[in-house]
Amino acid sequence: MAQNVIDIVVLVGLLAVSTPLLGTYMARVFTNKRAPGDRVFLPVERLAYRVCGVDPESEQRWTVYALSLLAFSLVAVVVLYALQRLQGHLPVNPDHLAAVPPALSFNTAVSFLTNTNWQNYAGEDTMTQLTQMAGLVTEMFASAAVGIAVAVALIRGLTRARATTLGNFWVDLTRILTRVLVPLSVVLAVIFIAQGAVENLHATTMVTTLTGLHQGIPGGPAASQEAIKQLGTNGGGYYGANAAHPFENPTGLTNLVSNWALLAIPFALTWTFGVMAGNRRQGYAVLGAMAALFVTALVIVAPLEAAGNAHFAQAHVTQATTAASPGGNMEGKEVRFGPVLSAAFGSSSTSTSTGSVDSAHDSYTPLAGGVLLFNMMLGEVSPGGDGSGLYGMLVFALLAVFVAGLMVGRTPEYLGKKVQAAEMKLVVLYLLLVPLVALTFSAISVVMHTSLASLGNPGPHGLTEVAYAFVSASNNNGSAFAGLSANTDWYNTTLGICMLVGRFALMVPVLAIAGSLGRKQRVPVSPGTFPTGTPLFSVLLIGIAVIVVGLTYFPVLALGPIVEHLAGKF
Amino acid sequence: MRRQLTTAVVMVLLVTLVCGLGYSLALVGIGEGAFGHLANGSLVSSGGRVVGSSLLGQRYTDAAGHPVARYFQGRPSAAVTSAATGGITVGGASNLGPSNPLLIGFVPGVNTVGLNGRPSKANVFATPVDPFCVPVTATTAATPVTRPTPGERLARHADGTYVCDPNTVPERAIAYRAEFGLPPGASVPVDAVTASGSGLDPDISIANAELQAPAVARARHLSLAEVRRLVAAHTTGRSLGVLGDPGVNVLTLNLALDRLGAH
Repeated sequence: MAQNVIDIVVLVGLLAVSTPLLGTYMARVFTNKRAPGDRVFLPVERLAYRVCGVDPESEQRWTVYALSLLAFSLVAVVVLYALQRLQGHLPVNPDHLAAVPPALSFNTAVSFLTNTNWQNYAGEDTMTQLTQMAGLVTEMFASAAVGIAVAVALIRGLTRARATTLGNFWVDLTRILTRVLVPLSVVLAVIFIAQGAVENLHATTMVTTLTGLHQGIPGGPAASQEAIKQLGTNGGGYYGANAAHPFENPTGLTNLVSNWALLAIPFALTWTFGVMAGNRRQGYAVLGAMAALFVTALVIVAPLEAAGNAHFAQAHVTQATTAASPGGNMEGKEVRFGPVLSAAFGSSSTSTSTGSVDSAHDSYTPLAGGVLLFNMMLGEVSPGGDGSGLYGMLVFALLAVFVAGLMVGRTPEYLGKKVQAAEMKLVVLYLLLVPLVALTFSAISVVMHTSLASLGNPGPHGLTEVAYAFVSASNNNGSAFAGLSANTDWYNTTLGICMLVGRFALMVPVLAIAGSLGRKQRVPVSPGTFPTGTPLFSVLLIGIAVIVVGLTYFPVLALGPIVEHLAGKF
Repeated sequence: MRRQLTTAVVMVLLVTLVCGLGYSLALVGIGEGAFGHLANGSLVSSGGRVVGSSLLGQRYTDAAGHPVARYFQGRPSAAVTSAATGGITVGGASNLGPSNPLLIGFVPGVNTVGLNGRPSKANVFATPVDPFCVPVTATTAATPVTRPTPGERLARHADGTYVCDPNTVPERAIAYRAEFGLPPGASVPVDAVTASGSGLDPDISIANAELQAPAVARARHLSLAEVRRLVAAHTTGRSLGVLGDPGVNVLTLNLALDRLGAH
């Protein structure tokens, strides 16, 4: 336990270093100022613009920015669907896997397009190496870049005055890929390989084990996917067991690097926001709120899992943490990570939109599993996904200044921009859509016989399982209470719809808010302005986020994890 | 919109070629070139044939599923290797919830049901050795019954006690004590009776290995000190001394024992 605390302190230390460095660097990338590495990256980017017929100097209005984003996503989802359906006839398929069935292909294509990476399959025996590389890895890069692009467009809308444009989607996409995601992923992937994560194009190695049993050891380029999976807050595992699989996450070092990578960009973007706003404190306030929510969840989940499952003790199973035993609730956890680091990973993964797991969330003790669910219900703003975390928190910020404005009877402002009826309508739309689809589909799923047949666990835990699935999908997280057998037409389809709503039905209002704010002029600061770069504002942000989520989701939390905890005598 | 779509098609192709294929293949090149053994799955051999990967756990049981006494046993596993998976070992967790009788057994006051499947205050299936017994059916033995239907036939031993699902934590603890010669009611380390997240956990806790060591030493006619020396030699410490948790790599330990016997 004490040793694990050092591990977590190292994680926080890495984040404390990477947030300002990466944040400042990204601000330079997004403002098209001279940035480090121009000599390498600029020629590549110019070539890409020429091939794609993009004029890098021209900027787009919010509508065109949104249209470009939607066009890109439409083409990408069609390509990914086609790849899965045709993979049996395509090369780089050493295990001779057949086509993916239609409903599962739809679900998977949407899942990777929306940065969700919900997986109703195990990669080992479903996806060919070509589909993994050309399909899934491509979308892991692209979806992370698209999320960041939307956040950058919103920052521009907030910080520009009387501007009709928000930047150029194609330029933003290209620069994020060439200057942030690809270089960082290469470095991470090499670390993973050096620690033992596999990276090859072999067929499954069929071996006879020491006692004469059969084991099929899968091959595949897993390490390279692992890097962008974490960095891009994607979370889809090359193998079914995700980051618990030793070929994806072999050591304590890769686990720490993964945990850092999935938090690095979302936290750094708050710094980018402060720099681009010309007022670092604005970034600190958002960062402070995110960090407080993140740490709170972590310090609740980790001790709960370290304490273990009360019902194991009755069978004289010892769960004490000692130098010779990780102890704790080890069901669904790996010895090399133990309960504390597994819980830290799970909490990070659900606080971002990653959804990568190094332990089975379904087997967490009720309240710990409930906190993971709550992390996602917050809309993933602590710190959230690449880009989506920042724009989600900035939407909460608009709501917060609105509420503060109501209390003192003044027109609310954020960064000198008046927040008026048009923006507030979009904010409310943003906040209502996800709970609407998540709760509606959950409610339908717990009364239909066909969907109830998918439950992996009885009682209140089954309700949590269903709610977790829809909350995860509509918040684009992708982790699961995986006892739910969701590879059915009902879940493939409805979860797919949730993922699309949680992504595009939120991105378009965000871009509309950005467009609307960008056109406004900046109001000078007056004594009556509510300051938004202060710790007080961080507290207000946390309060708003928790109250909105609490009011929306409390019933399902009460009937699921809380009832299980009380009735189950944990 | 048309113009956007044209740009989108070219951009998607470009990202696919560069970030999807180009990036992945470049790393395959780096992996195979600089880290051949690791990139190929850390395969280990014995007697000239590959017997597994030092990163992946495997079962040390005979074809009937009984533990082989001369080997250290890994953790329970939910991984699947079958014809349906094409012979590929697909890792995975049990995904059993913390109050599921399939995991914790029937705990009175929590999740017990009677013979009619309705909630019951006591565990009517309890046996003298296992108060948390979850019965299995008589027809398809080994299928646990958590909601019996009235009249359903449950498997029983000759003395009339129920046959319990062997995969609950209490039953695994009982089997572990029997296998390694521990007295009834002795404490069992939690990792020995719980399935891992991957189903392929290569490690067991040091405490677990220490408890198994005497039985393995007996089966191999080795001194306990010799076996414990090997356990220590195959204990994987924390990465860089601080990251992760330590464990004993079962496959490399068992291979070392085999090599010892061969000399």
